[in-house]
Amino acid sequence: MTLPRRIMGIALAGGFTLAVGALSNTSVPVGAGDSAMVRLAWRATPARVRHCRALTPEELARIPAHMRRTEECTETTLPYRLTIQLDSGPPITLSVHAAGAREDRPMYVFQEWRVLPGFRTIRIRFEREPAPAGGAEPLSDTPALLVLDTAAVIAPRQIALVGYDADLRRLVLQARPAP
Amino acid sequence: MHLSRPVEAGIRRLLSRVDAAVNRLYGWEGNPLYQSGTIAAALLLIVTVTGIYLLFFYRLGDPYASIARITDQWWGGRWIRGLHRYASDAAVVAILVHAIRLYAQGRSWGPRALAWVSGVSLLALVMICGWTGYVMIWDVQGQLLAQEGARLLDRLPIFSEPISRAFVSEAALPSAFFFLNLFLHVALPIGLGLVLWLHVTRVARPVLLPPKRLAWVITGALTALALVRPVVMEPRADLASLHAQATLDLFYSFWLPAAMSLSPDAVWALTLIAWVVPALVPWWARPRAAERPPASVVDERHCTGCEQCYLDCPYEAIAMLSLPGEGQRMVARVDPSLCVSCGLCTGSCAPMRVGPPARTGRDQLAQVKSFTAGEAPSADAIVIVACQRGAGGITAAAGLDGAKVYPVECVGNLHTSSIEYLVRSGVQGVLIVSCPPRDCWTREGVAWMEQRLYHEREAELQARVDRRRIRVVHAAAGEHVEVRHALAAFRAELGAMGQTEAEADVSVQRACDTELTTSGSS
Repeated sequence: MTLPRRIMGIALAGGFTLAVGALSNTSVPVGAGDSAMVRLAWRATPARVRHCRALTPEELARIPAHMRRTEECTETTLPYRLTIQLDSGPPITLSVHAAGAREDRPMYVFQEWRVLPGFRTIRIRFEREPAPAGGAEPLSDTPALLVLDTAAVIAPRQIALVGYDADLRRLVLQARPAP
Repeated sequence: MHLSRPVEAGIRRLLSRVDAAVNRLYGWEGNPLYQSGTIAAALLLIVTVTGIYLLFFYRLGDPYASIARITDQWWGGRWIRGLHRYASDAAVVAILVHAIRLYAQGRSWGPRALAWVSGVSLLALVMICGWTGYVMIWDVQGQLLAQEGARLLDRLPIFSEPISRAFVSEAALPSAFFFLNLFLHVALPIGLGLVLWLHVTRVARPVLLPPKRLAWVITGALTALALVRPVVMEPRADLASLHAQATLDLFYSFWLPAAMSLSPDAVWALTLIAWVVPALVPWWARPRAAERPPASVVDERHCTGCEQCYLDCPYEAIAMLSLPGEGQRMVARVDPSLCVSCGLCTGSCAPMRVGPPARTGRDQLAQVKSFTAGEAPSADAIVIVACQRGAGGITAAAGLDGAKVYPVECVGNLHTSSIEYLVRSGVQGVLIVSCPPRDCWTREGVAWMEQRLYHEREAELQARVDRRRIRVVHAAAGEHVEVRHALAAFRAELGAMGQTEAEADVSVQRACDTELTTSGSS
C-alpha cells in the first residue's frame, strides 16, 4: 500500500471516529425556549358511596345457607371536577375519575400548561361531583372542595408545581411568591 | 417488477463504489464494511466488559454523584466510561450497515427471515439498553429520556397510576426507580445475548468476532477517542425546571426533540412503523413465488454418503439420513425450508448429483462445453471466471482486454470439473475472480472454492490439472481496475510459462459417473 493511501486510510478512520464522538455529544434545542410551566400533580383518595339493598326471600333462597347476607352492597366513587384558570384566560374544566378499570383506585391529577414567565395568577377548583340521590353519605379523606387562588412570579424555564398536601388538606403551590 | 428491487439495486451501486474505495485504502481484509456484523458483536462485547467495570462504582443512592466520581478518575474511570459510550454508539452504526448490506444483497427473506427479524429486534433491544443507560446517569439527557418514556408509557392502558407523576419533583421520585432502571440495563443485555444466539442459529459455523487486527484497531480508535474527547458530566437532572438545550447522544436520543413536540399517539405510531416496516422486510422484499430460486435437490440413487455437502452447507440445510431397507447406507437430504439455494453443495459433490435444479455440476459442465464450443480457444486465451455479484462488474461484458468472461452465479458453487475442462481444453489460463471472501453472498463460497482448488477439499481439482494456469483474485463489484491489473499480471506470468497444449479428448471423470466422458472442443 502506498504512503498516500496509508495516510488517507488513517485520516478516514480518524474522521469517522471523531464523527462518532461529535454525534455522541451534540447540543440540541429541546423545545422549552424561555417558557415556563404550571404543573398540577397530586394524588387524592376519592369519595366512596355505598349503595345497599335488602335481598328478597327468593334471592336468599337461591344462595347457599352459609353465604346468606341480609343486604347486598356495591361501592362507587365520585368524580371530581377540576377547573383551572391561568391569568384572565378562559377556565378549563376537566373531570377526574378514580383510576383503575373499576374506578376503585386513587385519583391522579397530572396536567401541564406552558406559560410565559413572569407574574401569573393561578385559580384552581377541585370540586367533588354531587352524590346521586338516595345514596348514603360519601366517605372520603379528601375535602369536597379544594381551592387555590394565588399569584406567583414564574421564572423562565421554571416549573410551578401545584400539589395536594394531605396533612394540611389543601392545594399548595411550590413557586416563588409574588412580590 | 417488484418495488424493492430498484431500491436494492440502488443501494448495491452505492455500496460497490464505497466498498471499492475502502478496499483501496485498507484492502478487503481490513474493510470494516465487510465485517459489520462481527464488528457489532465485538463492540457489544466491549460495552459489556466496560459496563461490568463501571457497575462496581455505580451507586443507586446518588447516581449522578457516583458517575461524576467515575468521570473524575482519569486513570481508570473516565476513559472506560468513554469507551463504554463510544463503543455503544459505534455498535448502532455497525448494526445499521450490516442490515443495509444484507437488505441490498437480498439476504433477508426465506430461511433467512429468522435472522433478519431477530436482527431488527437486536437493534431495538440495543436502543432500549442505551435508553436505560442514559437514564442511569441522571443528567439532563437522562431526565428527558425518563420523562418522555413515562409520557409514552402513560398512554398505554396498563398502569393505574400515571408514571409521569414520579418525575414531578425529586421528592416524588420513588427510591425503586433507579434500581428498576439498573435492573433493566443489566437484564436487557442478557436478553440481547439470547436474541444474538437466535440470530445465528440457522447458520453453520457462525463468525461472531472480526479478525483480531481489525478488532484491535477499532478498540484502539475508540479508546483514543475516549482519551481525546472524554465524556464530560452534563448538568444534573432538575425536575423543577424546563430545559431549553441539552447535550444528547444522537445515536440513541436522535428521536427525542421530535418526540417531545408530538403527541404520545403519534410517537407510538411512528415507533411502530419504524419497527414493523424493517421487521417485515422478509415478507415485502422477497421475490414473487415464481421468481424464487428453487431449493437444492439430492439425487439419492447416486449419493455416495460422503457427507461433503452436509459439511459444506453454510445454512445447515442438509442432513445425512439412513435409507430404510438399505442397511447402513447414508444419503444426504435437503430441507427446502432451510435451503437458500446458494448452490454451494453443487461444488461439494464429486458425482455432480446435488444442487438446485438446472444448476448441478452436470449442468455447469454442459454450459462450459457450450461456452468453449462457440470458438476454439486460442493458445494465448485467458478465460475469466467471474462472480456476477462482484468481480469488478465485468460480467456485464463478454470480454475484458482480450480475455473471455465466463460469468458464474458464485465461484463457490462452481464445480472444479468445469475449471478442469477449461484448462484442459486449451486455454492459456483461468482467472477466477470472486467477491472478497468476507462479502461472499453465500457466506463460505470463496473459502470452499480455494480449498477445493488448493487443499484437496472434496470435490477437489484433479492433480492432473496444472494449477499454475489457474489464479484466484478477489474483487468487489466496483473494482474494475483491479481486475484489469490482475489480468495483466496473470497474462505476463502465463507468457513466461509458454504455450499450453489442448487435449484432443478431454475426459472429466467423476465417481459413480461414466456418462460425462466427453470430447474436447479443440
